[in-house]
Amino acid sequence: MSVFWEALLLVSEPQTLGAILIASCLGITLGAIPGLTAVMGVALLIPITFFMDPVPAIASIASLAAMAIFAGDIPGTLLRIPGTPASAAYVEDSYAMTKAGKPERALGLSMVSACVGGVMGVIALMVAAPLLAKFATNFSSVEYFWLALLGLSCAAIIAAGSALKGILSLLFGLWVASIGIDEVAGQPRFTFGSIELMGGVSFIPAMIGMFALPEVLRNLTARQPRIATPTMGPIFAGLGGTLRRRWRNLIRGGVVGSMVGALPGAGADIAAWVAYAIARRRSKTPESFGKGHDEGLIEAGAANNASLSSAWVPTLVFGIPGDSITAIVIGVLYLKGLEPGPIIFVKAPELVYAILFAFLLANLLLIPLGWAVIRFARHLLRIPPAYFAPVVLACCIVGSFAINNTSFGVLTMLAFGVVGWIFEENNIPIAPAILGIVLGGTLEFNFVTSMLKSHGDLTIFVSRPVAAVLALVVIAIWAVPILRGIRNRQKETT
Amino acid sequence: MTYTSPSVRNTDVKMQINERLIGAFAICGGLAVIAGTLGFRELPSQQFGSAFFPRIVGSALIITGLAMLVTRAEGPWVRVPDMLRGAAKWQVAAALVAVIGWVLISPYLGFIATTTLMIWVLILLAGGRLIPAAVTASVMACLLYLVFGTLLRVPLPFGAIERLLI
Repeated sequence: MSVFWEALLLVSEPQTLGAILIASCLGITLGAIPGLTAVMGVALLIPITFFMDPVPAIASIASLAAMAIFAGDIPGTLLRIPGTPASAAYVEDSYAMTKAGKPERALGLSMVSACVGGVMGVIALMVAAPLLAKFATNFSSVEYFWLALLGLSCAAIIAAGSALKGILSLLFGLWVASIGIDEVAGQPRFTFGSIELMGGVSFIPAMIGMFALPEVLRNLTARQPRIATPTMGPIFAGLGGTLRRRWRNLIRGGVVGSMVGALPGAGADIAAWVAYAIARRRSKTPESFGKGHDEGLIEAGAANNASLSSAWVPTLVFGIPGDSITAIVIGVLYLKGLEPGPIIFVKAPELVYAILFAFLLANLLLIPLGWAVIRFARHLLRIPPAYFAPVVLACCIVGSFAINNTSFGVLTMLAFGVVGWIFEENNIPIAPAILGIVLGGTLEFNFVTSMLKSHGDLTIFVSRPVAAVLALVVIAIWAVPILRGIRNRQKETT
Repeated sequence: MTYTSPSVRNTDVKMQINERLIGAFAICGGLAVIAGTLGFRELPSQQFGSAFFPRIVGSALIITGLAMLVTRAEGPWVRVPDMLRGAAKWQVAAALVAVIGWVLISPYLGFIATTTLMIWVLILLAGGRLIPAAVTASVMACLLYLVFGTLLRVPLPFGAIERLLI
């Protein structure tokens, strides 16, 4: 039986279909509520995926993320409050349409653009990932060391606003990764006599704490103004004509989103901003952007969902996250015994293709579920944060408890939540810390293995052509901000 | 990569720790990590033992901290956010205490009662109304028990209500 058929059978299993449907409903609801982000939704979903088989687990994450990113357009369109950062680029246009009495037009365009962009992103993932994986199958521990370092460097330096703060976050994560018994020497490290810490810090409670607890604290103290949502007309009326006229924007958005998303560290929000800027530059009426024009909305709407799918290219092939969500996914893949990297394409190709099909299905589900949530949106937007924030906190607690069935997980979540809140308040990015926790062990293992193989000779790290190229890329990533900092200081002194 | 929705951003003033102070913390952290590795035993034939990787991390923390110390950082050493002023600070404290309270109380009261109580109190503290808060709390606690306790078979803390349900 061909790999494709096996993958299709895996996706068509009731457990997988059910997981996709439930996660989609959850994602579309979370995304539509202002203040609840796609990343937080994924973080809260992880404890449930812990009990699932790999395909439904990963499929549910992909579905939730795709739905939440689209649903973020709903509060953006109706209230000028982007539900997720990916919706921020075109919020002025979509809200202007609402003020003009056409909210259904803005939401209809967003929904179809998200669906088309998402499908294009999946196609990019289907084409690029196996090709890259084929190339990467000959990698040894040296290349894996550089890939892990490249992923960490991208997250800490490129994706973070301040390189120093990104590095700080990363180092915190790497230190956390070293907690527990060292597998080689059997030496307990930083366990402070705690038996629970002997096995290391559990990734899931740490991640739930860092991503979800700060959101809970902010929502608990929020004062939401009284919301008046406009009435909605038929969503699909006149949509076909507009999309036929703007097909170039739709396709370009999908292509740009797929390309930006595949870059490590760039997320859906960056893809949307880049696509919006391109749409404006290529438009015959750039002056109408921000005033209820549809070009930017279509292009950026397609780009953000396309990037969501293509962000899985570096994740699946190299274990390098494309964005915060795929940083979490890498942790889940490890938990499921599926080490992300080219080997997964050789060892379990049906699993990879099943994930890709699930992605496709989730993006197609956007239309019926999107239509339903748009009709229901006015009720969702009226839920005050005072009611949902404590419920989210309860989800954090039970999710952290469920991993090891002990209260230690809950306390871990709390501790990391406070750290995450301090990080966010001081603009220290969280994703590098999470990635440090996930990849720290791999980095140390591959470094030590390579050093043992070479009897301590450091030149092994540049002895193979691919390793040397990767080393140069990593050095460049680290050197650029250092040189820029030195130049800035020189400018300040002169 | 982090984001807060404008609707729920109740404060304009965020907590700000001066970058130099963050740098000083990083240096102290780095020194503590290196000090923590001093007692690690090394295998005789092993060139790169348990202490090797944490020492690299500790050293990098010190270097990063030093780099932050020499950057030009303006503003006060610590600025308390609006979230930790007035009534909001009690809501934040209540949420954190609620988590610890859940850990301490749930083995005696059970999952459903403890979780209902926690959600109910937090909703009321955040400005919710008595009856809707009680309904939301009890429905959500039962729903979480159904998903995790019954469907996923997680051995959640057992109490009087759970005993009645069996």
